[in-house]
Amino acid sequence: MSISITRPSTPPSLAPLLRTSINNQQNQQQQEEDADGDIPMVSSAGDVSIVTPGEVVTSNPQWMRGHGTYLVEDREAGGMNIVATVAGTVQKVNKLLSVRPLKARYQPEIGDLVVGRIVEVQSKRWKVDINSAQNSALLLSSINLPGGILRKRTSTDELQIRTFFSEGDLLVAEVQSLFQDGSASLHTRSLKYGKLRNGYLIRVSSRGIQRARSQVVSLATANGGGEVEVVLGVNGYVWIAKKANTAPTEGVSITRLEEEASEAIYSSKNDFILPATRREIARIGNCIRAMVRCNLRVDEDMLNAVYEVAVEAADQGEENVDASLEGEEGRRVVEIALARKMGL
Amino acid sequence: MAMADRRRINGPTGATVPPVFLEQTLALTAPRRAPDELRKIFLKTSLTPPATGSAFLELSAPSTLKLTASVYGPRPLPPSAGFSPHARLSAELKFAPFSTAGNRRGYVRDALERDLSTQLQVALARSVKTATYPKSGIDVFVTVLDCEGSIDDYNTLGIMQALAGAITCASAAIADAGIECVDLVSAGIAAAVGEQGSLVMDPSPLDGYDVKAAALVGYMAGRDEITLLWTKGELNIEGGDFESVVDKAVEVATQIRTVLNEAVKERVLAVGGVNS
Repeated sequence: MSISITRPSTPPSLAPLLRTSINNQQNQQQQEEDADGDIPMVSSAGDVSIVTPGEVVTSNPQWMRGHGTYLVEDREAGGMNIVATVAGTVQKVNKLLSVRPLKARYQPEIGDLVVGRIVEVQSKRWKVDINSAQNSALLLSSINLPGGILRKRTSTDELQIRTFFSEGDLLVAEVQSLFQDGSASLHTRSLKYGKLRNGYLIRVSSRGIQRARSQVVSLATANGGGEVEVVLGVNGYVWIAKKANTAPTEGVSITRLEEEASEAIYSSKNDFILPATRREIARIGNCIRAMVRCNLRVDEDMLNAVYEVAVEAADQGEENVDASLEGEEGRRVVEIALARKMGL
Repeated sequence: MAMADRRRINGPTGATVPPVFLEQTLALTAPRRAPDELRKIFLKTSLTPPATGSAFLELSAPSTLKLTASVYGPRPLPPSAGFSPHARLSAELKFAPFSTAGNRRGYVRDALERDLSTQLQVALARSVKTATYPKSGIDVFVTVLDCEGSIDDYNTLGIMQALAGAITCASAAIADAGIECVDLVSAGIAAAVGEQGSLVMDPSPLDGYDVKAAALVGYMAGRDEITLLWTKGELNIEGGDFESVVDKAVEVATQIRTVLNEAVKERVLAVGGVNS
């Protein structure tokens, strides 16, 4: 049987930097498995279990099939084979075998924070593109209506549905439930969610952004750019914007705050953004693209580190520095940041 | 100038002479391959950034076949399409205007492209797990950038080679897109040539064989299933000639499958699969 443990992957040139941590992880995994009484798996260096569609992963009946596999009858030997349906790495969790594809469409799960774009307005709901196989639905009843959270939805709201969200608007929302066909129903019933403005959207592979404790990262930028907020949608859409001024104007009650918030909440008008802030927003976008390309997990710590290195690289005044961080330059910046992070 | 067509971008007024190239003589000078020798294939995935998955295929010289495939989806179908519990796979094969030697081809889809598109769809549809993606559409677009010689004179071998390349390339693109499929499809061609009807694997129109009959198969090697069969010419079915040609084509497809597997694997290795 040719199954090996697949560890979190790193691109070749970053591998030496991470060797220590990976080896530790591997030893831990190995020990855990021995304790469980599982069969010890071969995991020598360079042992990569990559399969292509149609390839038999195993014929051993002790495994359960997971995502990216299907069962097919073995015509010669009898019994059932687990066969891969996607190209990717074999992963095993206890007795569950799955194949993780390199890139796949985003599959929504309840509780995911996603960034989406309105593609269609219907009478009582919106259709939102969240980079998955099906457009998701946002019901009129699952948004914060202006004038207080506890207000009932009326037919007037239905008639002026476009004043809340219209075609092309960007929003941040949470997946509330899933339909039978795997498409999602969203909600924005929190002041954290809602319409997005004052920034720009970048699209990366949904595999580049992983579920974390907090999907919203706040960065203090260099060069007088001020505070910038990054919303890392699990679906691979990332929103980078100037952080809103949330300082309360005067002492207000809770209800008053709600009213003030809801007045501005559906505004589509952008504030004036200083060129310095725009430049830093663009730089953060390039950092995220470079991190995803280098297969590096995008979280608050790493993003801060990579951004710092990118600013330094630009400050060193090398005229030929590629500010877009495309190709080699991006890889170099990410490698330096990673090395610093590992304390090397 | 009153008669100038305002709807289109007009060319410059000064006339230029188009370059005239000499007739291609590669076919005559190229050494003939052994009958059981396949041409080398260059196949690379993920070369079209906006597409969900894509692939490029090229055959080694003297062959000039070059084509790209891009896959979009699974994406939601328009409401007018109605309900479908499975994903709908559509395939379109297009010859670029500059793909043929000699005369340029028109832009408008002609009967040949329509026919090949349908065959491509049939060859691929069997391999994709459409039940995984309800109410969705998967669109496959193949553009033939360069053919082997001209195809206007109903050069069947050239058309077959283009379709075989399209099937293999599109299957690589589908795998690259991360769409679930039961198996990959590779396509192979074999022909019976000359008076004796001796079998030739992967015949090219540039080889100058006197082709009696040819067969193209779309083949899923992992499952041992044929998804598409296209034969042309006169063969004796009772004598087993037909079967031998088809078997030979399956053999070609099996060999091409190894290239397909490598190309799909290469991308996973390069980007995300290395763990040591």
